[in-house]
Amino acid sequence: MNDLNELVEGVLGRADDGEAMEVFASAGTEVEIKVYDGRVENLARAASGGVGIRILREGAAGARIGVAWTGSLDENAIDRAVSEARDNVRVASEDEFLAFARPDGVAAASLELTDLSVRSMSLDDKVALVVETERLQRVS
Amino acid sequence: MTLVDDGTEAGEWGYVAVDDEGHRGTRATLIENGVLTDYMWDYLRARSAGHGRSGNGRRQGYQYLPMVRMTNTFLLAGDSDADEIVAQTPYGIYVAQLGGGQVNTATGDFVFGMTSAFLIEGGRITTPLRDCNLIGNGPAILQRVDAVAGDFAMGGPGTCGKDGQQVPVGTGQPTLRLSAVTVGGTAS
Repeated sequence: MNDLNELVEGVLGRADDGEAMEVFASAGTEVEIKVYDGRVENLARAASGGVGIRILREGAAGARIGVAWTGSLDENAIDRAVSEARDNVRVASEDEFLAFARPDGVAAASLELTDLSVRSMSLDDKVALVVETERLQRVS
Repeated sequence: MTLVDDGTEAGEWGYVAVDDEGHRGTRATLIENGVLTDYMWDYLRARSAGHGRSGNGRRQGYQYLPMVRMTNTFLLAGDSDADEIVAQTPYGIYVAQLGGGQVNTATGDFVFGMTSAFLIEGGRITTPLRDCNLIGNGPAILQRVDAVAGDFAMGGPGTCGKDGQQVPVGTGQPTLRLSAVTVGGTAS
């Protein structure tokens, strides 16, 4: 999370004078294990991440927003996305109601939505867990 | 009939501590006792209408722009008895489970498949039905709700699609009765 925050702060620092910038970054990993009749039928591991960028520039009749994104956390890819968002501002239409949401002072909630112990489990332990779960399902 | 959208329902699939525009999730009553009272709002629409935000600005991910989306949307319990509603229905369809569907958000026209449904004959649930759909228009069909039971329950985790974006949502309702609805299917 801290890495992503630093990345977002770094991208925000690339805003030019007169630009407001919104950066949405996410990263995640995924493990999918399918077990049938006691045997692993499918096992997939994947990682994904990307950055979405919106640049807003005020005009005479409202704001214009340019949008671009990259499915990578690589600095060069992010640079290209910032440049594309900036290009897209130039061709966007002005709209008096376009704006970026501003912080309302509400503290970020502390959420415990997932079992973090899963993150520290080895792949072998995850496979064993799924195999055992499937066995229990068959004998129940 | 009272319909609520509530992003603050912790533990439900559509829970949002904050929406994707940084506004905290809220509970909004959209229809209260049959009267339309509010809408869901993202920042852009709220600004254009001079309305407060409601925590419904959501986006699937970094590739997408935020737009107005539901969170946990549910119909509150009424004062009828679910068994009595069936017993007082001479002929109808009991829908135990809805499947996938489509809604034209501009017109409100919808079609939803029924994955588990039965005929109601003489106030009793009888023959199972298969391969049939409910077809209608949202605002029109809401005016045909003539009984709402007290057996409210949230459904399972759901996904709502809109303009190519999928977001996790929750839905819930009690047993309710429509006085009439178009049913489509294949005659056999």
